[in-house]
Amino acid sequence: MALHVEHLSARYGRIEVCRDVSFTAADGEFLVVLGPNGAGKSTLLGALAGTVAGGGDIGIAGRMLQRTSARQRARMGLALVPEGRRNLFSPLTVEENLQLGLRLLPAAERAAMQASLHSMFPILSERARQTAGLLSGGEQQMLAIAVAIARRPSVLLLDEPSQGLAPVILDRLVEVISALRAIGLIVVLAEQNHRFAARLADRYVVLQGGDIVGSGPGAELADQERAADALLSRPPLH
Amino acid sequence: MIEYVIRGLINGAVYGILALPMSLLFATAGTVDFAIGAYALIAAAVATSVAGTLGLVAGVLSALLASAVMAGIFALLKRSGEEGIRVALASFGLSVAIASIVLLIWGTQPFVRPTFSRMLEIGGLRINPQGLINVAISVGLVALTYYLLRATSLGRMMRAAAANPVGAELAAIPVLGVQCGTILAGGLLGGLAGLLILHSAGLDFTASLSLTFIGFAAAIIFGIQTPLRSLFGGLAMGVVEALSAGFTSGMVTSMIPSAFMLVVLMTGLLGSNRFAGDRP
Repeated sequence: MALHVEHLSARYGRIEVCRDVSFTAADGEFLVVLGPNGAGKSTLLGALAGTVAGGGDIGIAGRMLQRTSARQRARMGLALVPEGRRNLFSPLTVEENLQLGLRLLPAAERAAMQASLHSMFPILSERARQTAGLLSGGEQQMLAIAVAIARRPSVLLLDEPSQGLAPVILDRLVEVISALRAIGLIVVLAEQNHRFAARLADRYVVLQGGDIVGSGPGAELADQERAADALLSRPPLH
Repeated sequence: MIEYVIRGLINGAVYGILALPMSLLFATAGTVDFAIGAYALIAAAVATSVAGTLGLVAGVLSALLASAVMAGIFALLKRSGEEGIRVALASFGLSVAIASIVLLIWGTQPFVRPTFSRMLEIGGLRINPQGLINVAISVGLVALTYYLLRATSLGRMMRAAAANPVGAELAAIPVLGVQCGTILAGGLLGGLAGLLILHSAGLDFTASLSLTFIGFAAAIIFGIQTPLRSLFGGLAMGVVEALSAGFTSGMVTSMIPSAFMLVVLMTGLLGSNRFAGDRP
C-alpha cells in the first residue's frame, strides 16, 4: 500500500512550481510536508491528487497513477482535503456530504462506515441536517476529513488543516487525525504550523521554492529551533 | 378576468416545463441551453408525421436526439476549455438549425393535434381538458425533479457538481457526465412540453425561439437555481401573457411579458438568482 513519488513536477501553465520531488511513505505513516507560504505545498498535493498538471511517477501499492484524472485517482484510493475545505459542498447538508463520500463503498459496507464516522465525529451527527456552509470552521474541517475518509482511501492528503482554527479546535483535530493511524492510512500533511505538525508527524520533509531541501524524523519537529530554521529558509537540515 | 388567469395558469404550466431544464442546467453547468424551444418544436413536428402513440414516442426520441447533439457540442467545448457563453451561443445556433430543418421538411404548416373536441364547463368557465392534463403533468414533473434532486444519489451528485465542480472531481463524481445528462434531460422535458403544446394551442416553425425565451424568462424571474421556482415562474409568465392578450392589442400584447420580466429582475422583488447557504 506504500506511496511512492518520484521526480514529480507540478506547474500552472508554463510556470513550474515543484521540481523533481521524490519521497515515499509506508503504510500507516504520517508524513508532514513542511514549508513557508509559497513553498509549493498545496501545488504538490494538487499534483498528487490530479487537480494540478504535472509529470513524474506516482504509485500506490505498485499501481501507477500518472496520466489519470483527479476522479480516477479518487477511485484508486487518493483523497485530498484541500486548503479551505474546498472538498465540501456548502449548499448540501452534512449528511448529504457524507453520503457523497460513502457512495464509492460497496453497498454492504456503507452502514458500518457511516456508524464509524458518526462515532468518530459525534458533532456531525448533531449537525446532520444542517447545511455544510453554515458549520463553524472547525466543524467544516471535521466534515471535510470525514467525507474524505468515508470512501476508505489508502492515502489521505491534508492541506493545512490547522489554518484559521482556534487552539482548542486544533487539539480536537490532532485527536481525530491521530485516530486515523488505527485504520492504517498513509497521511501526507502539508503544514506551516510546525507545532501542530510536530504532534502528528512520523517523518517530515521540508519544501522550499518547489524543491525538497531537507527531511527528518517527526520527533525533530518538537525542536522549535530546527523547525523555525526550516520555515525561515535557512540552510537545509540534512 | 378569472378566465384569463386560469387560461394563463394552464399555458404557464407548460412554460414551467420549459423552464425546468434551464434551471437544472444552470445549476449543474453554469450555462443555458437556448435550444430548449427547438426540442419542443422538433418533437411536435415529428409527432405529427407518425400516427398514434408511436408519434409521441418518436417525437420525444427526436427531441432527445437533438439534445444529444447539444450534449456533444457541450462536451467538445468543455474539453477545449470553452464554457458558459460559448455553450449558450452554440445552443442558439443549434436552435436556429433545428427550426430551419423543420421549415425545410414540414414547411410553414402549423403543428396542432387537439385531443379533445369539447370544452369543460366549470363554474361558468370553459376549459380545455387538455389544459388540465398539462397542469397535472407539469406538477408531476416538478415533483419528480424535486425528488430526484433531494432524495437520490444522482440528485446529490448534480447538486454537488453545481456547487463545487473541483470538489466534485475530488469526490469521483463524473461532472461532465452529469452535465451532459442534464442536457439530455432538457431534451426529454423540452420534447414533452412540445407534445403538450401540440395537443393544446399548437405551434409552427417560428415557435422555437419564442418558447426558449419564455422558458428562460420563467426560469430566471424567481431565481434560476431552484426547479420549484421554475414552475411558479412559468405560471406567472403564463398569467401575464394571458392578461396582456386579453386586455391589450397589437405590439403592446407581445411587449408586456418581456416588460414584466425586466421589472421583476430590476427590482429584485420576487427572488434572487444567487446561491444562498454559505456562512457569512
